Amino acid sequence: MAIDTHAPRLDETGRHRRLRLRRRGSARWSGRPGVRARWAKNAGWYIFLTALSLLVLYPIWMTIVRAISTPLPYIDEGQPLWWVRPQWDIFWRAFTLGDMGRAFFISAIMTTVIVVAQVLTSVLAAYAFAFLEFPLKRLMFVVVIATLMLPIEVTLIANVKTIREVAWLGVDSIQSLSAPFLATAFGIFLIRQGFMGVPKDLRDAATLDGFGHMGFLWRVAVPVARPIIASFIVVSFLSAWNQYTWPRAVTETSSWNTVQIALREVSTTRVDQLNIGFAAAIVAALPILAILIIFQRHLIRGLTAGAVKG
Amino acid sequence: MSTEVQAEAGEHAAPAPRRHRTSRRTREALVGYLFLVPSLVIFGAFFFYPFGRLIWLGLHQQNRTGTATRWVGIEQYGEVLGGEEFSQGLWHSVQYLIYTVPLGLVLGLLLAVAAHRRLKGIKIFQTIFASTVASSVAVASVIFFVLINPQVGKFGRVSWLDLENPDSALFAVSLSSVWQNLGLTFIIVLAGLQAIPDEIIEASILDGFGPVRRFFRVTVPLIAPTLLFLVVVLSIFALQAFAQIDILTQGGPAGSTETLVFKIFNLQQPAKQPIGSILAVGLFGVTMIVSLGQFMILERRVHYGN
Amino acid sequence: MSGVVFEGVTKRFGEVVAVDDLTLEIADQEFMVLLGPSGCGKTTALRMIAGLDDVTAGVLRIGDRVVNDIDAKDRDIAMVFQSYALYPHMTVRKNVESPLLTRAFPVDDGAPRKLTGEEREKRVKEAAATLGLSDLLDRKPGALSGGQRQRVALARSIVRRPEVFLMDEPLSNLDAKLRAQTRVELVELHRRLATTFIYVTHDQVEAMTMASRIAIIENGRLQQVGRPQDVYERPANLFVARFIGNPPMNTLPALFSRNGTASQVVCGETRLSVSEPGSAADGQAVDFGVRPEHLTVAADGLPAEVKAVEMLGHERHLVCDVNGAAVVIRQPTEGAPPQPGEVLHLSADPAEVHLFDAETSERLN
Repeated sequence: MAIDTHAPRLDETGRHRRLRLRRRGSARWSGRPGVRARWAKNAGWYIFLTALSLLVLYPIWMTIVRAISTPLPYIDEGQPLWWVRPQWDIFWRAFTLGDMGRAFFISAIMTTVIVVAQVLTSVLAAYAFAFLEFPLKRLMFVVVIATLMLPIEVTLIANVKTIREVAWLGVDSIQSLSAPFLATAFGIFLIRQGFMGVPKDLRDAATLDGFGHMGFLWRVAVPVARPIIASFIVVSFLSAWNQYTWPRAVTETSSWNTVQIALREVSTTRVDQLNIGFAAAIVAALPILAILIIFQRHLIRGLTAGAVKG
Repeated sequence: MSTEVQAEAGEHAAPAPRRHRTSRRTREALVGYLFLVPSLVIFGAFFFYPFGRLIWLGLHQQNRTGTATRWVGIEQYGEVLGGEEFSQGLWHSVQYLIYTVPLGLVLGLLLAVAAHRRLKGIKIFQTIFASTVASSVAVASVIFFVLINPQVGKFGRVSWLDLENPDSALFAVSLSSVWQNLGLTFIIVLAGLQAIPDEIIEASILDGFGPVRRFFRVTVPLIAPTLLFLVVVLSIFALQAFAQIDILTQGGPAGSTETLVFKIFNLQQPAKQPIGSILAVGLFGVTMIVSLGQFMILERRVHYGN
Repeated sequence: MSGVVFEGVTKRFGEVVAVDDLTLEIADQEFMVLLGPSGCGKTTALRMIAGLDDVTAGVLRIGDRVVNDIDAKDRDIAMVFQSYALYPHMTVRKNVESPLLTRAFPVDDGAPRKLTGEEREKRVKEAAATLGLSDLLDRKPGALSGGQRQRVALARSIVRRPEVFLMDEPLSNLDAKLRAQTRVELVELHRRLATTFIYVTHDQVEAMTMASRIAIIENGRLQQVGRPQDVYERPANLFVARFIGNPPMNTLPALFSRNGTASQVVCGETRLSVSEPGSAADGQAVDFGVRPEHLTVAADGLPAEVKAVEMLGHERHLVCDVNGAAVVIRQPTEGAPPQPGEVLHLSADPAEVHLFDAETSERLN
């Protein structure tokens, strides 16, 4: 009984020490019993984290294995965790065979057009909302917010109709692939937020320096809000490249497929050629993966904008 | 100062200020509108105009070529929104939401809590957990094709993942969404956890809260706004799901994976456009109700700091 | 020749009157300090000169030119901001160069034209040399100390050689030591440039040490203009009396009495003589004011209970209670200080008593 009543208090002091330990760093304390316990606890976390990582990565790994392996022998061997009769050139072939290379090209151009246009339209609109006074400003802002409730899935039918009707847009064209995405409320909000962080004094200084609106916008506001604009570019790139529903609906001939649409072919391909589709999926994800790793900070800031209070 | 300027100044003195102020304001307003024009043109042409057109189409019937339309009136909305097509599509969409949102949120929370600690090399785990953000819906679908396709998938014969069984197909498809959204969910929850001040956690440790109690009493309430945001975002993703179905099941088997968006997509022939338009208006309504409803129900229980 | 003249200038923001019917003449080459508590309208007055805020009513001249409707960039002024307002993404060189980019300058007495890159570089180097920034030209503001940033802001304003310099609390972000040092440098700079400085601050020490004249503003209204010593010695009203001086002037309500040639103020039971009564009338209710250094402890006089003794090394301040009002006495540190609780008797130098009308707060003597 006596031990029982003491137990919680011991536990508490134990926690106290852990707190201190974390602050001071481990080196000075190595050799003490508490540290060994902590190490054991850390090992537990490492095992748990590794298990979770394997769970997350397993589908990707299986796709890589399937892409590299020769399809029929792989299935014959019961779909092992390792590749069977690897074909290392498969990634290159996925890129060069059939329409895939062209699809990459179309995706790249479409994405570039969308990202550049979104940055331009959003920067201009954000500038108007952040720095200028004009009648009906609030109403205009409400109009921008309202677009958030009209995703492409809702307006799909009517937008496809518009594209089919307006001749100069052309059905199979970069214009038609990108037209509905040339402006975005998300970009306007995000960049406006960045602009509102530009100190008022800086604006006044620019006025005294003789910069007009264009001068202030490009020489001061945009460079100062650069981190947020960079975040927006990363997110914009990500969503443009990964687009599916709209290009699938508006494209009429398969030679105008984007990468994402070209991937759909997988579900209709013969079993002995599936590896090409799988390899294509991996290659299609690579640009985004590269971006994720290089621009991790920007991506995270862009994705979490609005989510975490503030 | 030259006499010329002096003379000019004298002339200006009285009436000039007012004129100057208005002209500067007008100029500013003009620049404002000019800067808004590009965005507003796009929003008008590809957001508001098509929405109006959907509503208009829903009031009409069209022939097979789309060359002739006939007014049928508001009754058509009643018929379609009360009909089989809509209720079935809506039910599949809602099912999809139920499959993906809670599971995705719990898994994302698990990953974030596991990776939110000071350990050597934790960055590597964080990058791995965030990695599925690099996959598009299409890529995720292909990756799950590898696993659950009945003919060639490693788990194609597992009964509860069977894409050829109407009872399990939608759930099997939904797993690809759960996996694909894991990265985004993880990133956002982790950012939420990192935004909690250390002092609050340390104070709760000193108050004698154990890890479990601390998690439910302190951590969860503090990241509740983040979780609410995720619930809304993941729900909207679920209601818009299309690529997964287009790639993995094409709506089958027996129409059991035909969600609202899938149906809308397949009602684009001119004669069917009015029906598709009404479904789209229905989708718009459902999306609004879901996001507003979630806010209203959950907001009262959510702790929003100051 | 560029002074600045306010003629009945008023500025309203909606219902709020920021500057109320301001008439003030700032002479060419003057170092004018606009002094007042925060929110008194002094910054608004400065921003109107700069052209950043419009004039609601009245006439504003820079030199001989009415500038009410002249754009900020076309006025011959430069401004140093409280936050310095340096462009964070530009190097010091680019920051200093920025005022030279968009406007025309008269070169060698010829017609005004835009400067060439070479001419700009020369001017930037000169300005940088003047402020000791020559080695920092390629740094960005983020890599500079507070004092260095402040110098960059100054360099950016002198580079365009304006006729009027406007400064909005430029020292308030510096630490005390640097502030004292920079005050001296600003006075030196003013002398060297021989142009008009208009300087806004709420810090009376800055005003007293640098200004050729001080304009004290409260609630959007000009209270007094004068040389620092005049403002200190003869405050025009109760507000100025209490605002200038540290510790501030002691003021107590009293009755004025005139008995033949002898003038006195009656404060409670005590009578204190006044040598220059001015226009004060017998029996008039007044606020009489006396600075801490003009009060002395005497055998007879105003009874004051010591509340606290503040030792400052070279002097000490006795904080006392007189009829419920706080009164401060400045003393040399000789002798033992009085103890809290002790009751002293205070006498005031009759030549240094200030009398203010109790109703209008205006100076009487």
